[in-house]
Amino acid sequence: MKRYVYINDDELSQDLYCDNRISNRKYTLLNFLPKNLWEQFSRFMNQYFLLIACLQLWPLITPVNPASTWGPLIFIFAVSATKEAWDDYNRYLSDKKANEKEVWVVRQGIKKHIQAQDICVGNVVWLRENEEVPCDLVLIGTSDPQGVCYVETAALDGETDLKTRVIPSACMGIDFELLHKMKGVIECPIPDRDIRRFDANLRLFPPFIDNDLCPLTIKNTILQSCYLRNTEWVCGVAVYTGNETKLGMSRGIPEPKLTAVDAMIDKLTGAIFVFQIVVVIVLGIAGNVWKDTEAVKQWYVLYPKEGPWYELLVIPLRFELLCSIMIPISIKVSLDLVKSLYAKFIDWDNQMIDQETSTRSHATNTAISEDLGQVEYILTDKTGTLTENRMIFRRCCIGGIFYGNESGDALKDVELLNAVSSGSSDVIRFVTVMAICNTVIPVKSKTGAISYKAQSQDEDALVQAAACLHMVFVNKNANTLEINFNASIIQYEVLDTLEFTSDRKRMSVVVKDCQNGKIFLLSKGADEAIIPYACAGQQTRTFTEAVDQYSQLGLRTLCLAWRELKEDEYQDWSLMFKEANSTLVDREWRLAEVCQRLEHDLEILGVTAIEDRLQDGVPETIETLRKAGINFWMLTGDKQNTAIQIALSCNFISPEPKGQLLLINGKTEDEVGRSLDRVLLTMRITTSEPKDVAFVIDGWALEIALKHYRKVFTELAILSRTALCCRVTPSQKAQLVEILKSCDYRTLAIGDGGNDVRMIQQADIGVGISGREGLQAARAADYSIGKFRFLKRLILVHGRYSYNRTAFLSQYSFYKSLLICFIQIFFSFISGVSGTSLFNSVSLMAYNVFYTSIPVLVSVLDKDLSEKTVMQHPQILFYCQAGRLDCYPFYPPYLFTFIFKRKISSCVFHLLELLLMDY
Amino acid sequence: MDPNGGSSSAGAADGASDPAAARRRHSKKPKYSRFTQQELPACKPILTPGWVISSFIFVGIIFIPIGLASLFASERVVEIVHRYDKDCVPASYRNDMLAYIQSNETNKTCTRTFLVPKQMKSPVYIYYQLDNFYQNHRRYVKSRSDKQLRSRASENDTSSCDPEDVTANKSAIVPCGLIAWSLFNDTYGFSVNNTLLGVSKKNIAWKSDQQHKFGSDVYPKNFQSGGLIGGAKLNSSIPLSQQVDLIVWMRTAALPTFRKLYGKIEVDLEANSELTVVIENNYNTYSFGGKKKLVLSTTSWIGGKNDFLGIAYITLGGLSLFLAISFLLIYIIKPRPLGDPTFLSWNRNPAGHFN
Repeated sequence: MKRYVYINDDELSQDLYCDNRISNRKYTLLNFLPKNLWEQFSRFMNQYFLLIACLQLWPLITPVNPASTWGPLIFIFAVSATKEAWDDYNRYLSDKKANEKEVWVVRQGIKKHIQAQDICVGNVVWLRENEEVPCDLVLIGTSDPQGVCYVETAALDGETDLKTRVIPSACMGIDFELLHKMKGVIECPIPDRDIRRFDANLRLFPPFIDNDLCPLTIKNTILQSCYLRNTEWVCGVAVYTGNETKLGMSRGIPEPKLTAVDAMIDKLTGAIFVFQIVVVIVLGIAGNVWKDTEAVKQWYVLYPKEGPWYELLVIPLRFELLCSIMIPISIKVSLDLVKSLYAKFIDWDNQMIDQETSTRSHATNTAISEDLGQVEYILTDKTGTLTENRMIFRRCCIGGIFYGNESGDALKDVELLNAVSSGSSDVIRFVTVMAICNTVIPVKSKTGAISYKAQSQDEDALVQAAACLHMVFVNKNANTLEINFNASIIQYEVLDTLEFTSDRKRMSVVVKDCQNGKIFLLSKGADEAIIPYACAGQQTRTFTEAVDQYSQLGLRTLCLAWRELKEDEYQDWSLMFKEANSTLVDREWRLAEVCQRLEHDLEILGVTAIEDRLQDGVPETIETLRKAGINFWMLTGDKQNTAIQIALSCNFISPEPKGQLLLINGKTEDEVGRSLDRVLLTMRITTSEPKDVAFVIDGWALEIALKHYRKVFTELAILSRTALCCRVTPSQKAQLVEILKSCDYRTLAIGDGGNDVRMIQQADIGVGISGREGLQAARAADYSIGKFRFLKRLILVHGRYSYNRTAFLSQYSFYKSLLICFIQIFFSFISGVSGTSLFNSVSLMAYNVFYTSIPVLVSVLDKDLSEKTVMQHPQILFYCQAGRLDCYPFYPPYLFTFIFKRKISSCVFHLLELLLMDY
Repeated sequence: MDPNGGSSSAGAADGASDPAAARRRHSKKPKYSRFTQQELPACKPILTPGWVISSFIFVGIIFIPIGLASLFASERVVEIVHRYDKDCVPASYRNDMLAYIQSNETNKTCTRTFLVPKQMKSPVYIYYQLDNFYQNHRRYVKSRSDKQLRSRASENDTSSCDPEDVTANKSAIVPCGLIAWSLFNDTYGFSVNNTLLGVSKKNIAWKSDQQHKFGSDVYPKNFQSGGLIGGAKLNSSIPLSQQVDLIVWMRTAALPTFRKLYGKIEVDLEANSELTVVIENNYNTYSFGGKKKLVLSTTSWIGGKNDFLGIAYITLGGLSLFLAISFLLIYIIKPRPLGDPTFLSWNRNPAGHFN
């Protein structure tokens, strides 16, 4: 399926595709009432209440005034309908704001100011700096002579760095006056949600260019909701509009999460319903028997000899109505009410404000607070979640000399500073590579201060460090870099950039020194991707030692290397590179191969060590939550050594004598299988010992384990209280969550980046850290917090209180309904089993609303224990996790426990027991 | 994926594009208040031995005198209960009491005599007590029309009175319904030592019923005129608000055994005097085996004779004292420090988990 977009053709594509009107609304004015009612009635409880309310309209059987059921029913429906309507109205307002934003669009060859919602597919849209992109556009022109522009894609993928976008080669060099009149066709796929892929072709019509097909990639597009930065203007052709944009397609209403307590309430409701039916049948039969044997003797009741056909049903139906209050009608409304209060308490909590950025904690999902108190597994990301994700250059090893080992900070090491100022060539080259071997864009603010926009935090750290060593990267102008070294400007021309891929694990740039015309290859990358390519004869042992030493300290290491290229060598390679760059098939693989041809015989300059500091309070938080019986799994994309080091430093795993690490590795199915069996065996043996055992698995082995040994791995997952999963992909993270969920564990996933979003959405509770990797995780999450350490308070204080309060409230709701219902049932035995209500309608309503609902709602402000006590004895959380087992054995919570254990039959038994206890 | 379930792209982008603004919005602090920080003052009494023991002693000391006083008051009430349903049926009808009560020919008058055991100070209340009579049966209790009873204008409001709502020729019965229809119709005449005693009907009905629930302009109409006669007839020249027996009867009893006030004797009855009651035994309780009893009782400050309250108070008070003493003994013999953490479940159970 393809879509053909004709550029600037007002007639052709006008009606074929939807316009650019964004709509997130669920209802319209007309369908609101029927649709909303339908949705509300699709819930079992509401159907039940409606049935009861309808039965009450029959005066022969109703024990009370129908208003006593209709009133609350209508009230409850009105409340939820109002809430829905309000939410929908707000969505409508924000849609309207976006739809009515004014943009410049070319219509009939003239630039016009129109509303964003009127953009059609094929229109040419003009945007200026800092404007938001109204729909998905294919670039055809920018203010930049090289055809480059910068966009910020934070709204799309949460990454806050600037991304470079270029115009397609076919449009290069077209005068901006002519862009109005451009004609052509873009062949592109039908709309999809993949924001990293856009495989399309562009063909311009004469007179612009000979009829050549020009391939388009995602690099040639700017997508809806991105922002244009650092570029004066761009213009592009609208290819996807309205709800068919990449963003619109990926928008979806996530499935509402159900808490354990909710599920329990549902089950309890079902059990009570069954019990109620039993009561109705028993009492109905008893009532009919009494009527036929006793009531006929009671002359004053004056029963007719022959009744209507439905006579047998009358008494059972009366009892059904009498017992209908067993299921409390108000429970949903009161729970919704208190749950939003819990969420507010989280929002308001002054002790969960991140003072550095003054971000507050926020509960996006107001419905699942009590689940926080029942968490059993926490799956956490590493970078940015446990660590600060603020990379700081700490140590380096240049030409075999270690800097920063004494002070722990190379930038303060006098020897290094001396070496830079004295112009030691090794050091100068090292610092130069640090400064220019990257894709960082320096941005000069009005005051003259330079800030860097970097795609990776590591690059940012290196450039900053280079700047501290007087090698300041000041300007990047198309292909020319300017370095300010000791007050003199050095210019380099970037000839090629050999980009970083996770397979190559390194990146390089080819630069030309503008002063002497020499060409250099500058590389940086992981040790295993650089050291093997060292030129023959160079001693690499010190570098390997340095790498080992640094990673022992939990530092992230990078090797820097360089090589001078001969003019003709470069020219030969450059041709190959250009060719590979323009292939359509297997481009990435071809490029890697070509890069490989240049990246050899490197002269290794040194090793950098970057520290990603642990956040404050991480070890304490993990320890406290551990004591509360919560198991931790760390899922990281980082490599095994670093992950283990970080895990050690934050109490995640214990060092050798006390703890034990079991590695699962292997490249083939058999190897992984054997490894798994071995680990499982050890795990079974050591469960009885007081030893912290953790298993470590990497992404590759995990892939195989999940595919072929799912059962074994699941068993391992249940046994293990701690696990480290390294080099895992976002989808594997989500799969791990799924495995734990399938074993009926309550899981909490916490992360900060776009790669954690899937796991966050998959888990019972998703917590996002509003950190440096953007807000994407925080926005997808149910709760967003500023720092990892707030998790302790979130779970132990808010989660626990919420759970206790909800448990109390729901138990109480059932208790009070059952109580009054049992009074009615008992009364029926002394009123001739005729279904008389002991209470009149007003009393019943007053009991339900004024005596037992509103006052009890105040109990949600109760604290059973002080915050301090809970923090000191996190073990208290066991009670919550176990679903309040052992807590009040002679109180309705017992029912919950039994439902929890899935023994509905014994639950009914206990209801009877409860009945006896009440009287 | 949009977590907000679809805030528009524009809204989402605004938040992200300008993190500073987002932060500012987030940090829109609500003013610090003890409510928002969940620091409202609260008290959480800890049940220390001292507290528990002293409150039990307190309860015991308060409850036992109350119980004794109630019991004493109840003892002073003089109550005569006399069952007459069987004895008032002549011996020849004993095998078919139903025929006796349903027949119009039989003589229903019955004279009973009994001794007054102790002096009864006036007023002496006269009750009739019915057993196994379901005034709370749903069919019965619903069969009345409060509107009709209240005002003459709603005379025809008899829809809820089925099956005693209208006569055969469709004119409304006032008062309608099974309750009124089955009005109790035994009567009692009293004499002591052959002097007749007057029975006062003053103030035997609730004042509010007389003033608000039963209209002074509503007169009985078509009452007991159908083929089936239920209970007593009403004098159709007296308004319902003055028909005190009806008003008492229409306050339906919640339990199948109940007493209703019949009247008052306004003179003292001396001990050992002989009381003669002339009973018109009209009311049919024989078909369902119900008992009829005549009750004469004086009152005290706790009302009629009722030992339960006193016994309950004394039992509770005694139990409290007993608990107080046993707790005290345990506390003295085997004290343990308050807040001993070794008793915490996770300290007793090294595995840590319950399940």
